[in-house]
Amino acid sequence: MRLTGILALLCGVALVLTLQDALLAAVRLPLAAPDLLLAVVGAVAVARGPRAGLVAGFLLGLAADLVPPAAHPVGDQAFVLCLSGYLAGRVATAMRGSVVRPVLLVACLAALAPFLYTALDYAVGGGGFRGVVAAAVASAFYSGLITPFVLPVVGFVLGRGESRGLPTQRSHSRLPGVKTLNRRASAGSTQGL
Amino acid sequence: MRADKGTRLLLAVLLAAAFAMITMDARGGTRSPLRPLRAGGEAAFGPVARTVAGATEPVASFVHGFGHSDADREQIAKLKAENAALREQNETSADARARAAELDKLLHVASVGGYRTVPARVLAFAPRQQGAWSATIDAGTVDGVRPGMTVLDGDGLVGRTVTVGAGTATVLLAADPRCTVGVRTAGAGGPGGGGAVGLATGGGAGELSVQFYDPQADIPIGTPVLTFGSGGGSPFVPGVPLGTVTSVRPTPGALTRTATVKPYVDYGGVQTVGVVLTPPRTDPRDALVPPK
Repeated sequence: MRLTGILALLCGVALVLTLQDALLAAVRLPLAAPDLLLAVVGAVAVARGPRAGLVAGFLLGLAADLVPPAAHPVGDQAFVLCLSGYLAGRVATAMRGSVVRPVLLVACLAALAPFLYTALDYAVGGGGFRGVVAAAVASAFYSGLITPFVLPVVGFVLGRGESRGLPTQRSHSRLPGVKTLNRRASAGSTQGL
Repeated sequence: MRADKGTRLLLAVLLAAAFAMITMDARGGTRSPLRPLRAGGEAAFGPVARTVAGATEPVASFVHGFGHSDADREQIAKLKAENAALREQNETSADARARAAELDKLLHVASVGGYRTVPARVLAFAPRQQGAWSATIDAGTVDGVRPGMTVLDGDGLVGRTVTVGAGTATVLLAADPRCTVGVRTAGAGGPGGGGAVGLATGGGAGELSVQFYDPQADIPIGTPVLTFGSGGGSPFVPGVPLGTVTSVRPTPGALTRTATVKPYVDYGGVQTVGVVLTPPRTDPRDALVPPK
């Protein structure tokens, strides 16, 4: 059970990374690119709370740091996505309701991310880059646009994990995020096959 | 309340772990302990990137009209399919023609400069909002590509290779703030055959900044800037054009002068590139500077 869980988690992460790769390869939009990882992390956090969000963000970010075309210091995306997942979870538990709010939430986080990357770059002695504000606005727009398509998919996959007899814990009081992710990933892999 | 505390602790631990990795990787440079991990990532995901970029999915959307008979609908569907096929054929040949032209230009640059290059295609760019300008190309160790090789295209310098997998490589573009290139201005005179020598750093969108060491050097607007060449030709071979000077101003708090350089290459839209496998036997000097 534990081994299959880990395998399923790996499959889920690989699937998301492949989709993000396809997205980056297929569309070359000006100023920024749609951030699928952020949308997925945001959706997990909205559905499962801050702990699941931050663990999902850390794992997905770390994986994205290691695969091409990344060339920035390893840990950059893990840091930003982990923080984004936590923030998304905290804000989402405070507000529940229409689909517009998670979309706005992801857009806000996407706008925040470029500033976080720049701050991290400065912290390790980098130089920063021009056009952060334009990149932030573009990123918020693109990531907000793809979020409505990501939300139901992530919700459905998490829901399938629940309907399989796994306990539902909306309060996420004792639920470690990894288990949540396992469920998401296991459902995702069977869906993919 | 207790769960809240646990979550915050987990957040702090993970953020600290991520920051530790960033520091280790950024300070370690090419000897970073995390480099093998990245090489593993390249090996595992390189084939995926190749497959994904290779699969072109023609998106056909058939809008079913109301008020048509079945025969009409069939006819419309048939014509639409035919039209889509023809359009795709047309676009494919246009794409192939554009690629041939780019390869032609690259061949010219390589032969004039005396570089031995291997052509490659850009598969994907990293999201630019992350402050990183890097790309995946479809050439790797099987083509003779190694980390720390110059990447150029028909217009000028593109960047250098950082991580190389079997069939793919990650290129750090010259526009990246982490990419530093030794440069000189075109023309005879000072050391390296050029007028002034400096260090170019990427600045993100469409501009590079070059710090010239000689405070007295004459740097008119519009002067071409070329690579100075690293020792042993790695990571940069000499004589590759970078861009033209658009403005010069004194560096705040230093004796040097900083110039803004407009690159020849559009770093957001590079398609066909060449990786320099062997540096030229002699410095090509200003042979590659494009005519005005």
